[in-house]
Amino acid sequence: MQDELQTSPVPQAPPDVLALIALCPLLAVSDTIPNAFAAGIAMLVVAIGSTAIAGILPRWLDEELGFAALALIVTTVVTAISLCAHAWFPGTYDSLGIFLPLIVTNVLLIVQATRSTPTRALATAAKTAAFVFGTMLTLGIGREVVGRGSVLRDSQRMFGDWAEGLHQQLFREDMGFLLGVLPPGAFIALGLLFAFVKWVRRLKQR
Amino acid sequence: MAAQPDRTISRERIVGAAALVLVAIASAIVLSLLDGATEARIERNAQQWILERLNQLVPAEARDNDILADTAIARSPDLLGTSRPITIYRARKAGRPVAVILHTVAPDGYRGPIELLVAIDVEGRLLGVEVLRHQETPGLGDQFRNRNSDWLPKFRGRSLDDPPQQRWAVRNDGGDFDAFTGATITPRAIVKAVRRALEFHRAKRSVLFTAEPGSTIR
Repeated sequence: MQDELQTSPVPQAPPDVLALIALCPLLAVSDTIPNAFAAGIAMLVVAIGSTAIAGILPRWLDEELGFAALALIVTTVVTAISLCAHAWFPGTYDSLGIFLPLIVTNVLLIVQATRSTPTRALATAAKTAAFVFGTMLTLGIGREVVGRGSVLRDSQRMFGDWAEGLHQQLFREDMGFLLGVLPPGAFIALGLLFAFVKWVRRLKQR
Repeated sequence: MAAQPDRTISRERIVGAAALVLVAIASAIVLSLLDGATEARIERNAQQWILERLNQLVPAEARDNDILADTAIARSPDLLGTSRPITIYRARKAGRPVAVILHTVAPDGYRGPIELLVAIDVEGRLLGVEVLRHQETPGLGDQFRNRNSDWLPKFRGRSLDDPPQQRWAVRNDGGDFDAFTGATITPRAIVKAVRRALEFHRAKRSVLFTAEPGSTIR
């Protein structure tokens, strides 16, 4: 098993590190809650969908060909999703359009690590994707509140007109901390989030 | 890999390659079907999107023609400051010219071109200016969206004589238009592009409404 892992075309890393790396391509769109939510959902669908489709690949396919086939499947699912978003959710597509293709790298890192039985692969992919989704949403909340002083801004663009009332302005927008909105803010927020999680864990251990 | 002596092309590899080709073909079929199924809808969305914005500048009551079809193309780098073809939407009522809306571009935005809609009535007065797409810095260059949301409406009613041509600039350059706190380049680019649209309007006034739909004005 160990040898097999080392011949894999993608460098192997522990699953939690992979999940962390998988987060990076999507970080840029975590600037508001609706954006983070939509990107997270798209990522979940792609991760679970492509793992399920990859389950029909013959088990004897060797690692290199298997990876090429998997890459094909993931890119196809991502392209399909962005076509559908463009046609039926134009508002979402406008805010996420150029970031959707990045989900390919993101998901390849998640599903690559788990080429075991189809059901186990599905469970692992779903778990990791859910972790990424949760982190995205948390970052979205934090960044929107800090950067723009609001919650669920522009949600009607994404979910339709009924969502217009969801937008709450907590304080004046120009009081917002610009760093929260700009891309570097995503990394700083992510660092703070992990520091917080570690701190809570250590408190529990005592 | 071919250099490795112990690796011959086994039967499994050929079957594997065939499987890969099958996956590729299946993907291509799925995507081309989906592309066909979404194409018309995507096109309709795009038209709807631009129509909503055109209607904000020239209300539907003020015109009775099909504004999306009644267009001409402007190619005039020296007047408009961009080599891109610029779409001109023409609004008419009962056959009489009402206004033109130029889908123009401010090429010198801080982080790339800024796409604008500039609506000009037959007298050469501005009916309004809308920003369609931009990549300006959030919080600084995009203040016309939030902090300075009364900035774009100030163009309404202005023309090449109001203010006089040399004061068609931001205040820092001796003009009449405010810049944003912490961002001068974006407002400067927009003011310049609007002024150019007006100059184009003045220069081409005689052909703007008579040019055949789809034809090019140079």
